[in-house]
Amino acid sequence: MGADFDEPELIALSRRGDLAAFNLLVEHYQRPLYNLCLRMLASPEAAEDATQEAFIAAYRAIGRFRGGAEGGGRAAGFRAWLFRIGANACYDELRRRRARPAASLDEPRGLSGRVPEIENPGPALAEIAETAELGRALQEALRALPSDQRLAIVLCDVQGLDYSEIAQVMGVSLGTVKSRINRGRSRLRAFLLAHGELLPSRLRQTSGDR
Amino acid sequence: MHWLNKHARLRHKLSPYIDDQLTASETAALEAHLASCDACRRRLDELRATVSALHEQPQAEAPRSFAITPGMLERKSAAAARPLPALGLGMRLAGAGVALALSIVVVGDLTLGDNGGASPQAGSQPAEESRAVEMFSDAETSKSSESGAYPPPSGNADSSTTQSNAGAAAPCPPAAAPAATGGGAAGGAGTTAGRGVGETPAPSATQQPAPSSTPSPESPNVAAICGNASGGAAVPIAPQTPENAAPRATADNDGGGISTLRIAEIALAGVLVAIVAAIVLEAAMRRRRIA
Repeated sequence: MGADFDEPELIALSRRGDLAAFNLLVEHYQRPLYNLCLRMLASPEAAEDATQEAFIAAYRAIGRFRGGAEGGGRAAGFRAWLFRIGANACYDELRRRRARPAASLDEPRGLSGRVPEIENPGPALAEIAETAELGRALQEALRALPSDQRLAIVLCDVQGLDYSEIAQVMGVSLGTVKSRINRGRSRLRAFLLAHGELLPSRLRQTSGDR
Repeated sequence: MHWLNKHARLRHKLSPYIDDQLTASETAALEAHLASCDACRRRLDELRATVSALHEQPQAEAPRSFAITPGMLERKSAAAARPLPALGLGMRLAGAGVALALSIVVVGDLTLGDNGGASPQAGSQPAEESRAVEMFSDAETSKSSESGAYPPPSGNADSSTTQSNAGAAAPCPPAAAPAATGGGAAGGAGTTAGRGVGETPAPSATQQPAPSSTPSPESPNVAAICGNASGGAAVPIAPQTPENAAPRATADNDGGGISTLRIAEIALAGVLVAIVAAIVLEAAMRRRRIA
């Protein structure tokens, strides 16, 4: 998010077919979009494909993108628009998997094989192990959610979007977003409570703050 | 009971409460309840722990740059069209051409059928005519069933051949055989109606090789194979016409009999069915790709 990153300008250039300008947008958003797809699909390979597919689709469709009219709304509008394309790419992939269930049996081990690097190597080893274990449990819990709830949770609690932007991404009302997040969190909580006593140990650390 | 209802109702507010999505009055009501309800407080803590666990999940690095190259755009569009690339326009045109040819043949067949039923103009080959009539059974003139001169696939059951002629993809391989022999054998009847109709196999002769050659290398689907097989029927017809339609029409004028017509009809129907099947298959594949 450097000072030289002028999103409205890059969008305007991209709309005129400037691929280099669009690729600056790609560079800016590829990590969050890839992570969105990774959480949705739980497979690095599938997430990679979906991410690339989404960027190509976005470049093709950017002429039809209408940013938020207000100056501030524009940036959020583009991210929501892009995430929406990414989410659609993920839904496509999930639909394809449902069409051929045999292939999806191979997918689950995708993420657990490649746990992402932990960025702040501060905590003790035991805690890192716990984090990794928790991460796997969370991923498994997310996978068990209906895809709409999973998308809402990933956008809200992993990507940190607010409710109105999530509503833009998902194309639903605020009330629907609220209820999807609520139901998704309830399920995750129940899953974590039921699996490996992960929550209680977290609870000890987090019950004090917030 | 009242307490339980309130309990359940407030539970749904815990999640938006975490995200500050409640109105001031909702927040006040919930907090008042939380102050007196251990179960809801515990649940709130668990939900918060869940959310913070999600928050703390590390973000993966992008495995590579997703920057778009111009080649990627081309490759992507090529990939999108991959299912049956040559089929798109080619097959549609071929299908339209064959459909046109078929309708002309059918029309010609009907007029000729009336003629043939009333006056035996095609009398030089009576056996052949009756055979063909019986084979397609759309006329009422099926009387003699001497079929010695005809190949086995031209069968026996009238109704069954009619049905398969009407619909399924099945007729194309059988159609190939009678068309091959019939096209060669029909050499006698020159009729006035035959002249008008004689031009109709020409489009088929030019159209048929086109669709059959396009799908076969690309897509090994049933329709393509089927189309290929029935397209082969055009080959025995085609040798009579070296290059274009003009010599074909004259060749047919002195050579085309009813059976040729009928056989061309069934062959065309087969090809048409094959092409339609290929188009439907292609559309299905494309839809799945887009979806």
